[in-house]
Amino acid sequence: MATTVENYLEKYSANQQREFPLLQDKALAHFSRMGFPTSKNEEWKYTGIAPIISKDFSFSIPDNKCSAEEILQRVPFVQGSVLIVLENGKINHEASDLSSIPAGLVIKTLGEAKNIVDVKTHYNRYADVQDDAFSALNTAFANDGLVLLIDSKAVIEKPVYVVQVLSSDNVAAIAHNRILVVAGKNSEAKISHLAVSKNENTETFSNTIIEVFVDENASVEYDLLQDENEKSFQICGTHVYQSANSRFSINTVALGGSILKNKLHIKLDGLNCETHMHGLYVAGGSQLIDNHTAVYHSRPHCNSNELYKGIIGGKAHGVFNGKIFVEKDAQKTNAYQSNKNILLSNDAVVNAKPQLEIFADDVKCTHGATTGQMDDESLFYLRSRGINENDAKAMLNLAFANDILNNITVEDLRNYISGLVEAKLKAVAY
Amino acid sequence: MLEIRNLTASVEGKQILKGLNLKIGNGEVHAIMGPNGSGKSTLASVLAGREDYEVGGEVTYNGKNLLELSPEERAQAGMFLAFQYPVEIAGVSNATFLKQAVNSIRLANGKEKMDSKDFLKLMKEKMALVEMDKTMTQRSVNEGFSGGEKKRNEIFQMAMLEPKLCVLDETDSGLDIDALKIVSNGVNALRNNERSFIVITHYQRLLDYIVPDFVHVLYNGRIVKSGPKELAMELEEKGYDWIKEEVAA
Repeated sequence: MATTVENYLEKYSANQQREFPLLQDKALAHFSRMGFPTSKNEEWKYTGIAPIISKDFSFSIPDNKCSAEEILQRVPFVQGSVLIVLENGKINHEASDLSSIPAGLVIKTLGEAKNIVDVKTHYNRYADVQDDAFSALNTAFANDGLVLLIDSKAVIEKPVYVVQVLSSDNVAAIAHNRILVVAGKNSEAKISHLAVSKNENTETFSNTIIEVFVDENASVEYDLLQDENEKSFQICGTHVYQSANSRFSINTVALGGSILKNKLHIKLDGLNCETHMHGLYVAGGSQLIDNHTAVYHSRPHCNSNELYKGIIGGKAHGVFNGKIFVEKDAQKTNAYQSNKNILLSNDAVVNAKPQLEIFADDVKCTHGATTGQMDDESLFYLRSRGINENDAKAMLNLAFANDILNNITVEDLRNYISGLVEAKLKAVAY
Repeated sequence: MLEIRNLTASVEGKQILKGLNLKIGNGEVHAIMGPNGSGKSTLASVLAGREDYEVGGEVTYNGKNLLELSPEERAQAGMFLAFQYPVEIAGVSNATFLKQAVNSIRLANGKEKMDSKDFLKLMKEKMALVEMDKTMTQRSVNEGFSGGEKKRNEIFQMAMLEPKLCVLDETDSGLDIDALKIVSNGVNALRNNERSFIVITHYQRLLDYIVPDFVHVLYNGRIVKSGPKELAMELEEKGYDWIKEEVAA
């Protein structure tokens, strides 16, 4: 029997259709050299991936199985908006709605866009292909991802929805999702990315890489909802590069999945950048949700602000690792980071590790992590007003979560996610 | 309405209530006074169902064994505790919280949920009772409220939930004279032939505004003296030492 690394190498050889042959071959070579990470790797210390790598996933799921109706049934609020359905890593044009793309926004597949200068410049430039086996695998296998280009000065007021769906019915399947966003100078856009499953009972593995280039004075909000089925494995790397005077805000809400691992890297490579990172994870059963974030302050006068919150019940496991690097030149940096967790059961576990590495001397940085139980006084107060214990707990947990959700400025999306969180809180708490 | 027989309560091995007896009829206002540490707040907590205590004795509330009920069941049966230190709950608006409370109590009593329009109307009406600013309903429960605002919010909640038995735990503490008047007016507006009150206070001052039918002195975990409202005046004049001496004798 082939080892799993060889299994992936064989799958690569079997499929000869490549849009970026040089990049893809090189990425595969990196993967082949690194192999899959083990728990000895600090980045993967708490996140065992044996269930993922031991599985023989199908790489070839039939295309375009999701209809527009199915998508709208799942996420009704996207109706009437620009909608891109990324099914099994490829754009499903039939289910997408590209009928009212605003001026200044270009939506293409990677293949269509490969000769565009912005794509040549930015594609695969920020992903950590040399250091991360899953990033390398994604680059090797991603052939048909999504490219969103926002022209200079374009202000895209309405959100652009990306629904990422794995549509295998009963065969364990893998998809390599790839998204590249290039926001031109002085542009503004909001991208709402929703990862869901078509089938609630199929084991799936979505290996996703998102790259975002934010040019000078541009502003991007990226909302990421992860709500794939409870058997799913999700590994998602988001790599952001910010130029001077740019603003980037990301809201990550991780709900559904068996093993869910996020990596968020943001490089601030210009003066006066502003960055907001908000994350919420709600885990129950035997779920594992891992958020690793790193922000690299490379230039002076930048502000980064990070708050991640977790609510963990059952035998679930939450991992938070947040790094702030302040390089020698990055004077007058303001960097804040906070991670707060509530454990709902005795068997729930959280590993939180904030890290600061500061090489500049005139900076303001704070970080902190707390893990605790629900506040008994608040619970008694609500119950003393006639509110049933379970409802009272759900109210308090939702209030804790709303601190994160309130940063999502896309109202329809926020309301939708709030409903999902409320339902999930009821499911994990008892 | 309420009958307490030989009520005991201890926390972490320390006995605080040591056999307390009290009977409260419909529409009556009972003041419970006493020196610090006599067990006044413990009595309020035990009646509301706080779980930190080991409790003995019997408490019958409208025919039910109160001590067997959860805090929410007590509230649903018409008990209300105005907290001495109302809790701040970030992220839950006063309106959301109260709507849930009103409807939980209605559902438990076989009534339908109140619709949003009726609920808003009710809130407006009851807010006027304690001269509460309407922006407070959108703010998080007690978060950033001044001491006076918190106490007013307690009485506002009481008015919204229309309880049968109200326990006011040192509602006068931390109030200036204006706030005390507003809070007392709110309470007095809620007095009627059916609704009963237990007013726990350290000072007689509150009883100038909320005039009780009976005054009890709680000392060392027991009610050691009961009398008409004039007893409160006597306590104000003479302090508690003579009571302590009487008990010791």
